[in-house]
Amino acid sequence: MSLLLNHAIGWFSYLERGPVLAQLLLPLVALLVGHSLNALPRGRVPRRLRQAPWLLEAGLMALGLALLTLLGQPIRLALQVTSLYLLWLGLGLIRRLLARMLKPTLVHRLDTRLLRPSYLVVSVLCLISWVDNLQVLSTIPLGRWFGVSVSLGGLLISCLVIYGLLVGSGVLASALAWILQKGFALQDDNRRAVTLILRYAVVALGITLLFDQIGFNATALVAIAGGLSVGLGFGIKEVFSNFISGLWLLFEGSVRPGDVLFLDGDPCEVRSLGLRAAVLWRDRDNAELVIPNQTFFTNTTITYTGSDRLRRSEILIGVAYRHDPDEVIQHLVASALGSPGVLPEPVPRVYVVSYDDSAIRYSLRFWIDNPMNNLSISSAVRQTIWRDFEAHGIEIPFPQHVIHRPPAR
Amino acid sequence: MLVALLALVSSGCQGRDPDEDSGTLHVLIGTPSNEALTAESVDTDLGEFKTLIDGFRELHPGVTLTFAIFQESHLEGELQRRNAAGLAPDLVMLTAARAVQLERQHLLRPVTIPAEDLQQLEMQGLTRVALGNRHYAGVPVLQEPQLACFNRRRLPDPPQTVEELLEMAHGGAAFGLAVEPAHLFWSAGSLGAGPAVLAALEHQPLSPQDRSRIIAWLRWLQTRNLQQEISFLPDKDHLVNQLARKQLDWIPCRCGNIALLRRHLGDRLGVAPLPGGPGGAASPITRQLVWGFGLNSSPRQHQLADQLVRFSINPLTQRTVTLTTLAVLPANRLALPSAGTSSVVDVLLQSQKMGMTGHRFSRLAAEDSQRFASLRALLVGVIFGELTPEQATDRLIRWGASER
Repeated sequence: MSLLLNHAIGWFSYLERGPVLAQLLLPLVALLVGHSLNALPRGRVPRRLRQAPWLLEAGLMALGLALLTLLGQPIRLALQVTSLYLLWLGLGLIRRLLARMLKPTLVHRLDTRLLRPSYLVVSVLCLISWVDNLQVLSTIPLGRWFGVSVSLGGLLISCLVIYGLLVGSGVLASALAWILQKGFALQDDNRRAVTLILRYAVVALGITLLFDQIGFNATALVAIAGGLSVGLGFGIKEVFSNFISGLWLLFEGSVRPGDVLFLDGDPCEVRSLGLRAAVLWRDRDNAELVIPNQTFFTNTTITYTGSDRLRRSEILIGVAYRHDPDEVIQHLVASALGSPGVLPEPVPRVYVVSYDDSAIRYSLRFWIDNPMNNLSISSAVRQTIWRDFEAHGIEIPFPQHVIHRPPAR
Repeated sequence: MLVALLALVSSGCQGRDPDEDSGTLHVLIGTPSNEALTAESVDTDLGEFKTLIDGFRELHPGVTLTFAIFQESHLEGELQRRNAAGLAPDLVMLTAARAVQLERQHLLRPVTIPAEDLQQLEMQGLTRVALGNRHYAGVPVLQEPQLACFNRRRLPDPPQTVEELLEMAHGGAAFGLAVEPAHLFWSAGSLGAGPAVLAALEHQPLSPQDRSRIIAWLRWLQTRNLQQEISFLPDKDHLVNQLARKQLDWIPCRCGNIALLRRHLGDRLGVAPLPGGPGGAASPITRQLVWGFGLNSSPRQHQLADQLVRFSINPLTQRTVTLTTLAVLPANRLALPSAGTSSVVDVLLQSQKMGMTGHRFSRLAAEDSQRFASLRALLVGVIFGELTPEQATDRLIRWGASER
């Protein structure tokens, strides 16, 4: 580590040289001046310059570079720093281009997980390569881990590979799962589960191969894993329990991304099943609920998507005593079938449930194919029933209380 | 902004108090290896300088020394890039021939050497970096003579002559040679072709005897490739690696390889002068290491660089480095160890004395030069039977005539 520190001190000590500092500050000052234009009052800056501050930045850069050249000073560092800035601007253009083709969430994910980290790594490596030999730096030993001498380059490559696995395995797993779905005619929710399992498998396999490539001693790893398991038992057992629960749920298939669960009286869709917790989306208020995996493992779970995605909905309605129940039942079934979202099969059914004080109570039971739409479809059915009853003079009685008072004596 | 730029550019001229014992010195070290650098090779390359640097650090604890190692073949590009950015190192450790080449390309600063230092430095080393007008491309620091490295277990007594080398090869010992002109030139001396080859490279007219000596040398090389126990490998790095892995028993090596080989072979490593032959002693090439000066140093860094260089060539430092590493010889005549100091030093001294013609060869066919590449192609052609020794000799003579 002291060797690395020595190198790092060397990089920064180039700043002691006036020409080096001048080359680094030149693009910085040009940028600051360009950006500060917006802070000035409108009248004091020409409109064209305000719209394109890069004109001023480029002008200042050119002026500074010309001056340095006239003074016989080096300028390549300033050009290199400027090229890094231009690369950053190019990244912005790529983002805009992607935004036209992809969904905003996907663009954001690509930007934060791939474009910006790549830019950061490339820039840092570029900066270091200007003042040092990357090949030699990569050989700096960091110590012996698991019986293997680990170098700085090895560690950096391992980190990049692991990061690549975590970020890129999603795409790979999705592609594999899509192929499996096509091959085995899997349902969408099964495909999602397969995707997640494949992703864990790709990451685990990748890390195992990486450790093998580095040459980590497998016996030492097993011994450490054994020691950790004791620690896990006491220290972070909740995290571990959630992780295992998540894997178990995936294999069992009881909770999978895309499933609809009934939680506190509300249907919620499983958005993702993570290492520690599942994220559920509640339609009622567009809330996202983060539920630890072991909750599903230890508590009763009500799901509408276990074997199929059908849900049977029920509407209770009271109709006046004077109407023939057969006629009412026909109207209710017709109303249900005429409402959007109600499945014709299984056929809606109506039952006489009770004789109440002012009405006969009927139960209309019909099937829908998306459990999350229960409320909207039920609402649509109720509206159709009202219009149908209104058209045919069928009364939905309002409970009335008649009070008889004995005549005064 | 312009005023600020001017101030910054000139800030290097003001610097800090010159008496203050602090500052940073950027040192770039050229390594002859063509293979990818590894932790082991970097450690070996730095090994010779550690003693030197540690002594300087003790004297100047406030001075920070930073090192970057590059393959010598990459130095030109690296210095061009760094000079254009103001990031050139303050000092570069490289071979004399390379220093001259880089100075001619204005990538290094020519230096003048104080009279008292000039008197102490080996004349051979100074000649190799002399530019004329009392200017030099660098300051000679250390010498690395070429010698023979072998495995004592397999070869208790190394060959003294090329004939013995053949006998031992017949006896089952594995010998290795690299198809590199500078690496094979020692055998030209053993077979009496050294002066003739140099004359050809210097474009001098050759006598029929000279021609037949060159033919005899090339024929010897061609015939050796037909022997099972003598292997020709692409470069010296392969040779060193194979001796370290005990796949070879004897190779020509540089004393810079001794540390790495000692790590692998331990006491089994033996060193000896390269074998002579019917034509006389071998003509090994001594690698002359020099300090070159960078172009972008601030006045303070110039001063520190001068201090480090003068410290490096100080007789006491030179003797310490020689005796600590037992792998290099000093450039300072006053620091040359006497014969009998150690067996390794004796071998180094013998090899250095044999290397007079080698100096001329390395100047005439510097690595990376067009002539070096042509000579290499010619040797490859002969060794692998594509050219007869006569054809190759005629081609070598024709180059001289066409360049004359």
